[in-house]
Amino acid sequence: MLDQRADILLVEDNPDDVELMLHAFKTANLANPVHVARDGVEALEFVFCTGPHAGRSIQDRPKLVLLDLKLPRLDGHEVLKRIKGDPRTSAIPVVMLTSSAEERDVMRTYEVGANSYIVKPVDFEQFTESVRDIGKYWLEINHTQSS
Amino acid sequence: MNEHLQAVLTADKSKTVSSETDGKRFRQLVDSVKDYAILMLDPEGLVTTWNTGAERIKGYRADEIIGRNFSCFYAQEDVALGKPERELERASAEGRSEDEGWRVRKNGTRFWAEVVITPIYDDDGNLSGFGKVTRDISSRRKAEQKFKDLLEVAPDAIVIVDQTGNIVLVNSQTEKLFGFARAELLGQTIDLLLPPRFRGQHPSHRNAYFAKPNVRPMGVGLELFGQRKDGTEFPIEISLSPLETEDGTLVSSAIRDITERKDAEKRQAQIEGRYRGLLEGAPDAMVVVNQGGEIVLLNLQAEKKFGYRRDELLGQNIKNIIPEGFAERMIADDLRSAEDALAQQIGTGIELTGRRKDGSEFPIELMLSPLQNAEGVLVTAAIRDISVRKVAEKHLVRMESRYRGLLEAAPDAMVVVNQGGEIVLLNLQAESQFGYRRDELLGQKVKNIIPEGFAERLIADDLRSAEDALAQQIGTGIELTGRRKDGSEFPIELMLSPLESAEGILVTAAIRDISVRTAAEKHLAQMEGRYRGLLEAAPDAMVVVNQGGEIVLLNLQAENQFGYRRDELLGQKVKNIIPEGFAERLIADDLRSAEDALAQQIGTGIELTGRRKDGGEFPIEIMLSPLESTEGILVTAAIRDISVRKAAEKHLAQMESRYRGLLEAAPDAMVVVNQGGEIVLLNLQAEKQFGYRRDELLGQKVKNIIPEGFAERLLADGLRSAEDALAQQIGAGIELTGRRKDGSEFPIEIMLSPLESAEGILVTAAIRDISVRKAAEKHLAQMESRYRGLLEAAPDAMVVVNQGGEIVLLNLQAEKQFGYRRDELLGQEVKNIIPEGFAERLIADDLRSAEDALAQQIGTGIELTGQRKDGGEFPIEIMLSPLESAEGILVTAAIRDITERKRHERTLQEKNNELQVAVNDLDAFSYSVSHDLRAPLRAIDGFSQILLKQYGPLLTGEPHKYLQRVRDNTVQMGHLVDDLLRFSRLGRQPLAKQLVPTGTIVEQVLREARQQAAGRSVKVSVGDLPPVWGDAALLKQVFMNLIDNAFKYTRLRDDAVVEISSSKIDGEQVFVVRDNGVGFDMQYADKLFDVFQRLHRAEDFAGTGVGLAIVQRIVQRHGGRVWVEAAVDHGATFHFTTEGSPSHA
Repeated sequence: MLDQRADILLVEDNPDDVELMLHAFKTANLANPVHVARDGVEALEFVFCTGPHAGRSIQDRPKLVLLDLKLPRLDGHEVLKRIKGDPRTSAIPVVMLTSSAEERDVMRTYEVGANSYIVKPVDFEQFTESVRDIGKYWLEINHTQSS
Repeated sequence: MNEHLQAVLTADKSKTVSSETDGKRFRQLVDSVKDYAILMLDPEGLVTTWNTGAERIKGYRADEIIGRNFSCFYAQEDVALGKPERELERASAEGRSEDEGWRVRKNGTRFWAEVVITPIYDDDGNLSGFGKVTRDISSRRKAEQKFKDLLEVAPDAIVIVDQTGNIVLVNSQTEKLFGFARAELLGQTIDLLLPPRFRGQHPSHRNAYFAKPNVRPMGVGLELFGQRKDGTEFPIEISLSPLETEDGTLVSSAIRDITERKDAEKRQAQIEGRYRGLLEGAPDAMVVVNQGGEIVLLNLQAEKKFGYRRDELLGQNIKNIIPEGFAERMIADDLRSAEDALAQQIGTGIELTGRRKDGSEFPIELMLSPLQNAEGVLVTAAIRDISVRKVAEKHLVRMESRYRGLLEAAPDAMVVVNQGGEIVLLNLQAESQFGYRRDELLGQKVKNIIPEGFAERLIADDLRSAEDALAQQIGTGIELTGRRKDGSEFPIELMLSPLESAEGILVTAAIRDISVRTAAEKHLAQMEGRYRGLLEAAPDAMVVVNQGGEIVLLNLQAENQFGYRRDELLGQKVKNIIPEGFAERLIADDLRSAEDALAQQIGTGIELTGRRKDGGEFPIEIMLSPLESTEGILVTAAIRDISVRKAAEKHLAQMESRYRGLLEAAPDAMVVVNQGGEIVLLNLQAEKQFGYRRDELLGQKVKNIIPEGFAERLLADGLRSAEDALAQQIGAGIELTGRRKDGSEFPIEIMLSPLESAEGILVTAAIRDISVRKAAEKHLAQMESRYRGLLEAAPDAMVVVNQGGEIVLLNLQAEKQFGYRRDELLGQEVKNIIPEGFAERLIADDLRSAEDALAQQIGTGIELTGQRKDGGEFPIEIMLSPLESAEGILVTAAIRDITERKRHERTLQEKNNELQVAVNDLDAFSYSVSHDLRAPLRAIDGFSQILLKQYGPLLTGEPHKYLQRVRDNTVQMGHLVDDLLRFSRLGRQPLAKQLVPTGTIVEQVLREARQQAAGRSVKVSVGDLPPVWGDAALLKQVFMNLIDNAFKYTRLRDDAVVEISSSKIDGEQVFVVRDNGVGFDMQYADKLFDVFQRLHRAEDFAGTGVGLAIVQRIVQRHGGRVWVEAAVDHGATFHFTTEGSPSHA
């Protein structure tokens, strides 16, 4: 999982959600390598190739970041701001993951440049569907851009 | 002229050819002629014959004159010039010599003679002598001279002109008028006196006149002009009269210079024009009415005010426009003369009503003035529309009428002068003293009647204020000179006093005619200068009479008074100058001693008559005193000429009659009471008011009509003098009770004034019936007390503030709140208790009017700070309201102490803050609920799903079913969490209000609902749904919840019906969602909108129990209501309203 290269960066602190998400990817036949960051700091270290990821090239950008809003240490909002605030990383699509559409911060993420968001439904089937759609869509887009 | 003479001479001539007999007869004839002196002279001029006429005319007898030279008939100067000889020479040379001139009689007197001398020749043609005929024409010459003299003294220029227009005679007036010398005019044509432009027509006018000469004025209707030698013109008037003479008809023209008259006419026309202008320009309606009550003149204002055209009013009776009986009173009737009628009305201030053409009425004020003209006395009425100021002036008019009474009764001329120096008010005395009519003085500059620079000093100038000007003059007693209308002057004394009025400070000037006093003073001063003796100093004629009745001593006054020189009176009997039996009584007779005689006379006040030397008599008063002397007791008599006093008394009597008029015209009952308390005089009002006839009241005790002890107080008693009694009462305004003849009583007010009279001090009491006023006052007092009660009962401090910012009224609360006593606050500046600049805003300043100042503050509820007497401050709230009063607009301020309220507000704020903290906590809680509760649910569901999918074939029967249950519950719990979160968010989320198209959102909702209910047959009907003002997303939520419910609960119906409609009920837009589903029991209706309250089992109808709670919360947040009607198995109908309607947009 701690691949130096990853197409998808999943930032999620809840191990259940990580498990279910990966399961959903698998179910959806998304074979892209996934790197999981358990908090905001880890996410930024990965994106900007610092700390444990200092050896990584920043040119190896993930093709999609799935970013949970509520994170330990540095929250999703702050992480989003850093990624979108840096010219080197601002082109990376970031899809926010939220527990509920009612969350007040959802709208704020658009202001800082979030590309989309997914409400993590309680119903796993819906959840799986959403992840598959989003993943396919953004990975496709990104592929088109890079090609 | 000489026909007669010629006949005589012819006859005389014939004698030479007649017989001797004829000659004798002729001689007899000549002798008998008496009117002519006929004589013959020899060639040397010696008289040869003499007739009777000659003797009569010249005074010589024949024997005295025959043989003497005729030169003795000539005046000496003529003889010296050789006139007699020249006459004879001329007669010889020319055959005749005629002369007119002075001749001398025998006795030396002269006469004017007409003389003809004819030479007489003998048969041989030699001169044998001269015939001389002389006629005395003195009387004719006198007549001629008289005519000429008359001509000369004529006041007009007289020019006599012949038919050719040549001047034959002029008088000295003509010379003066035209500036020509007589010689320059005689023989010249009359055109010389005409301006060139008239000369052309003049001959034809002249010929026309000569064709029909008669006495008439020339050029009637034409303006005639003369021209002086210096070329100047002047207007003239000419009277022509024909003058028959032996030289034919002449014309005598009397020419009068009418320059002055023309000027006067011009001035008159100007004055007339100005008057007309004034009339038309007058702000009041002016009508002039004749004795028949008909309008003879009016102005534009009169047309406007009464709405008539001028021609409609002219000739109309005045009562048609002044209907309430006043018009009639303007006119003299049987009982009153026109003057009286006027006198009663002018200035009485009766309020009247004018009537317009359209019948509407309006209050008017009339000012009348008499206007004497050829048609008799006309009445000029100035009619002022007083609608606006009537109420305000009512009081003033009453005061004015009282004041006017006082003014008119004043013994001095009183004039009231304004700051412009114009007379604005005057009394009768002023009219009589200065000889003007009232209307002539009103508006006139006072300096016209007080010419010597004093009038100006009355008026404030740049250097002095009006008050200073007055202060300098009052009481200075400067003697000045007044000027009458006729230009005569008389000494006056002025007393000034200022009079505050609406027009500024007026000056009241009391002008006293001191002619008599001045004259007396002057004389006295002379007396004192000349004589030091007591006698001479006496102002009266003093004569000392001895026991024999002879005057033994007298003074200058006696000389003056009686017109005798001192020496003529000394030793004369005193009865010669005091003729009517009184003088005798001065003297002791057998019956009386001298002392007794005196005692009887002194001070008896008998009016006597003195007689002057010229026989004239005059009223006198005598004071006697005995004087012991060596000659025995002498009587000193001081004799006073009381002519002036008598005249004054007469004047007084006139005043009395005028006073009577005033008395009767007074609006109050007036009674005059003597020292005995008896009524001696009363007026008509007194009769009316008390219900007595005049004769019943006269002599009656005044206390009979004024019963409550007041009448007695009018009179002096043992403890008080009459003056004190009066002084105590005047102006006391004590309210009393009058009693009518029928015994009924009524409230009265009495004003007293002393009246000096020959009978002592009388008391004039003006008694006013104040029934109406009392009633009004009582009502007012009730109102006042009620108002006072309200004020005191007010829970707030109330202060009333005037325009000066001073507190004029306050209540108990104000005392308490500010810690002052009432008397400490009254008159204090309101800003002392309301310190923060607010008080000032109550008051009008330069930028705002009082009304604006008020308008800005009323109801603003600005919170301010009040300040207590102890300096402590407290929060207040002020409500202002304007209060119209007699003193102008007052401001009533209700000041509320809001200390308590402020404290409550603070507490409330604190609670609010605490609540906000709790809400924030709840927010955080909700957030964690939404975020953290859902995560485990998701995990449960996710893993259950994976189990089912991946290990489904391994799990059969129960385990599979249970896993499915776990999944169902987690999903249900997810919905619950979502709904609960949404519900809690509704309380805080701000509404984004806009005009919401309810029809459109209902369509959207129905589309989704139909999709969900695919396969079911639901009949949906949607009515007309108007747009409403609200939050679109939330209202959509309402419709969604209700419509979802409707679909849900009709699930078991085959013929499901869902209706959405809207209607206006009592002005409210009500939306209705109706279904024919399972319905519910209305007894649970109140639980329906509570959170988690469900009326159906979840296995029958799925739901969280939050939907209707959300509906209710949204509707409430919109200010609306939601309610439901339902019955089990008969469906449910939900109604809701929203606060706003489209019209609010």
